[in-house]
Amino acid sequence: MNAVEKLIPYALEAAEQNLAESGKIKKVYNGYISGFGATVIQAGLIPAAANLEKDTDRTKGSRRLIADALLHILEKMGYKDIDKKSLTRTAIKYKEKIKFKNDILDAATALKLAIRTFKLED
Amino acid sequence: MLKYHLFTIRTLSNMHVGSGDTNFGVVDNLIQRDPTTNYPYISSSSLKGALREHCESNGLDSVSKIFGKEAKNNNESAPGSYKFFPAYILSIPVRSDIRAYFNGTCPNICSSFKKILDDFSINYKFNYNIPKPEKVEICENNKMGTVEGYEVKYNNDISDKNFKDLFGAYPAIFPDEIFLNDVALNMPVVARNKLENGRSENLWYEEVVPRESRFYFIVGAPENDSDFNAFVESITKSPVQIGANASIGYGFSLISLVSEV
Repeated sequence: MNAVEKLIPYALEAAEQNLAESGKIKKVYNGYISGFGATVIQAGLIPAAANLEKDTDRTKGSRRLIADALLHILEKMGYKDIDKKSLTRTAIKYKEKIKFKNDILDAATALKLAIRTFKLED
Repeated sequence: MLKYHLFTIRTLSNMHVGSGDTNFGVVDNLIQRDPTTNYPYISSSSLKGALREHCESNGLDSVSKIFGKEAKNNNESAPGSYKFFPAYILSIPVRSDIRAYFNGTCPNICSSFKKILDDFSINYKFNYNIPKPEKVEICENNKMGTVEGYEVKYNNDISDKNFKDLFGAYPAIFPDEIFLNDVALNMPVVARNKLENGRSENLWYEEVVPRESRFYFIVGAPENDSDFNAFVESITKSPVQIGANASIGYGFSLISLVSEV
C-alpha cells in the first residue's frame, strides 16, 4: 500500500480531533498545511516545524493545531520519542534521519488530503 | 536503420513540466520525475510535443514526417519516423558561498549517462574516471567554502572543458545519497496566488526545475536522413519552450546537438 494511503485514516482522526468543529474546517488550515510542505523543501524540516509552533488566535486558525495534528499522525506511525508539546523538538531529535523527514512529509500529504474531505469555511 | 543522436538542454528560465494536476504530493503541482531514480526528468511525450510545436512555429517542412501525422478530418494518423527519448538530468544548480552557484551532479548521473552512450552506440567520447566522492568535489583549487552547506574538495578530472560543456561551467560532484536527498528531491517551490479584488482566492505551490539546469536526451533518426540537419537547425537556433506557464516565461531552454552526426 502507498505510504500516504496508509496514513489517511490517522490523518482523518487527527483532523477530526484537532482542526474540525461541527464537521467543518477553516479554509486557512488548507493553506497552512500546503505551505508546510513547501517550507520543508525550501528551508528544511526544523524551520518549517518552528513556523508552526506559534500559538496564534484560534478563532482565525492557529498553526499550532497543524503541528498537533502532525504529532498525532507520527505517534500513530509508531514514533516513540515524540514531544507532544512541540513538533520542533521532536524534529530535532530525529534531524539526522532522512526517513523521519520523508515520514513527516507523507504525514503532511495525508493531512492535506484529509482536510479536503471536510467542508471548508472562511 | 536508426542512428541515435545526443542533445543537451540548458534551461534559461525556471521550468515546470508537470506530473499532472494530482494534488497527491506534499506540494500541489509536482514536476515529472524519472520513476527509476526519482531525479527530475522530462517525459518523451512532453519533450516531443514541445519540439513539435517549436518546429511547426519555425515553419519546418518535414514536421509530419519527423513527428507523425495527427488524425484530422478523418485523415488517418501516421507515426513519425524519428524516435524521441526522455530527457534525463545532467546537473542542477546548487548554492554556495564560493560563487553564486555550482552545477551539481553525482556519480550515478555520470554512470547512467556513460551507459546510455554505450547502449545506443552514440558517437561521443566521455572518458572520465567517474569519482566516488566522500565529500562534494569541485574543480576550483584553493577555494575554501561550502556547497549546499557541505565542505568541498578539489578534483582535477572535472576541470576539463568538455566536461564543463556538458555539466556546466562550475561542476560540483556530490555523493549519490546527498545529491538525491539534498538536491534532486529539494527542488525550488514557488508560491502562486490568484487574487480577486486584492483578496487571495486560490493559493498554490508549484515545484520547478531551476534555470541553469542541464538535461540530455536522445533522438533516433533514420540514417542519412535528408531532413535531419533542418530539424537540428530548427530546434537549436532559438530557445525552445518546454512545459507549462509559457506566458510567465517558464521553460525557455537552449538545445544543442552534442554527438557527431
